[in-house]
Amino acid sequence: MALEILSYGFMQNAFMGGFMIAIMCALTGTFLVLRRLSLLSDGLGHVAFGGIALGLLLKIDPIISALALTTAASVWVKKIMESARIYGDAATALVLSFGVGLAVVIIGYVKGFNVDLFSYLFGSILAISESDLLVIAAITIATIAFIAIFYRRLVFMTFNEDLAKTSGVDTDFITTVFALLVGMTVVIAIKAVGILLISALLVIPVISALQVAGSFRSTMALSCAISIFAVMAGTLLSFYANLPAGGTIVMVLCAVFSASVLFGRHLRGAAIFASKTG
Amino acid sequence: MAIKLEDVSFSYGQGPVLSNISFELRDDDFAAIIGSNGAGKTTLVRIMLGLLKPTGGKASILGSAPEKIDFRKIGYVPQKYNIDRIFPGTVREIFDLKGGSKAAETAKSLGIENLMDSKFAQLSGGQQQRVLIALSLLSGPKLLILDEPTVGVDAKAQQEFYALLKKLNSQKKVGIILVTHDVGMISKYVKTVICINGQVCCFGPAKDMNTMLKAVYGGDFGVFHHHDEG
Repeated sequence: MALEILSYGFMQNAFMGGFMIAIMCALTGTFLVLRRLSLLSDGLGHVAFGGIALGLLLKIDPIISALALTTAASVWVKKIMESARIYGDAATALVLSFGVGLAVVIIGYVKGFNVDLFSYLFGSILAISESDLLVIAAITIATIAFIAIFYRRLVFMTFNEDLAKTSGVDTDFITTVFALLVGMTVVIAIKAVGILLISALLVIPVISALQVAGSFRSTMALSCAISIFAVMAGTLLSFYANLPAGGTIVMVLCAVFSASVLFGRHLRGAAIFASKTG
Repeated sequence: MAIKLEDVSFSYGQGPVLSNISFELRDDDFAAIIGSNGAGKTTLVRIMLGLLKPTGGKASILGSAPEKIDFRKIGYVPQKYNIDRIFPGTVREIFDLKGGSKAAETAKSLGIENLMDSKFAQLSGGQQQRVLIALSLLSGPKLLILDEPTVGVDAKAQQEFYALLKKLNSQKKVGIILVTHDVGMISKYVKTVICINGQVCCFGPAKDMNTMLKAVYGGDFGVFHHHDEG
């Protein structure tokens, strides 16, 4: 039965795309959550909504327009936080409102592509095309390369930004590049879970891993494992139960989080015992 | 000079936080910056470290402009509560952030070698403070700057902590500047006290503490020492 499902081209694309999106979201999500920027993904997702509407209006690929607007917004959030001296959540609320406002204005102006636009709200991992796979692969490689090269500096900034600065870390450069990657990750992840559920894929694997993991590296590894499991299991379940894939993936993630809270203490205890005894 | 400030002023845009701050500290000084809440102590430290640019005047640290300083010469210990309690890194991972080969030796000298695989967030206040100091010492700094290092640390750990700073200052010749409210401790361990309240209220040897405290806090404020137990 499992092999049968893989004989469909669209399912192969869904699994390959989902696998890469899961890794990308878990890696960037780890730093977002620990830097208290969890809702930034939600805000940028809503900016992407405006970007998609703009793309449909201008008759260009909506993913391209969403990428352009979201990457610009991710840098904008950083600038707002610095220059207007407001907290990240307020800056996020501002860009979130901008994105939805823009989409609503365009929908009101055009009247006609509402069906196209709303298909992005809930995502469709089963609709990932081969050209989408190339874009997803490129952004996944860029994300992994960035995190591998700047891992120590990113962790340092997550631990304490002032300490990182006074130790010679170029925090401005790293924050800017990271914000751009988050913007791109958000747009690509819309394919899997849609705009409304985007933050689930960036946040839930990480907060689940934090219940169990005993180090920073294991938090990242476990986040990736949880994210991949949820995307794969959710896609399979949605296929056999004829359910929407995005929502099913999020339900699996919520189940994993609940289990991590219920059993996390026991798992942590077992891990400490195992490390001490052998 | 470890620190030289000439007429340093700073404003966040709504009235001055610091006005015309001027003083000098020797390379081997052990100085405490005291002052009431909102006096500008942390702002002053951030200017010394190059994290903020003064809106007026000139600051230099170990003979260089703060933004040009070789960061390995400076050890900084930030306020502990600025570190997230869910940060999942272990002490070993935190030491790896600075790299170098002195991690094991430094951890041993501060008595934290058995904490290397523990999560930082799960350590006690005193243990976390030792880890942060160890981290700041990894690059072999000439000057250590600490911002309210003993907040949330019990009295015994505080005493051990100040003894450790004194040892670093006297034996390893590391210059030390700390922002603190522990007026009882500084009169015992510190060489120079700087009282600020938007500007320098007083600057002088720690033995003149009581006079300075009256200038900062007013009234009959003073420090009385109890004899150490044992």
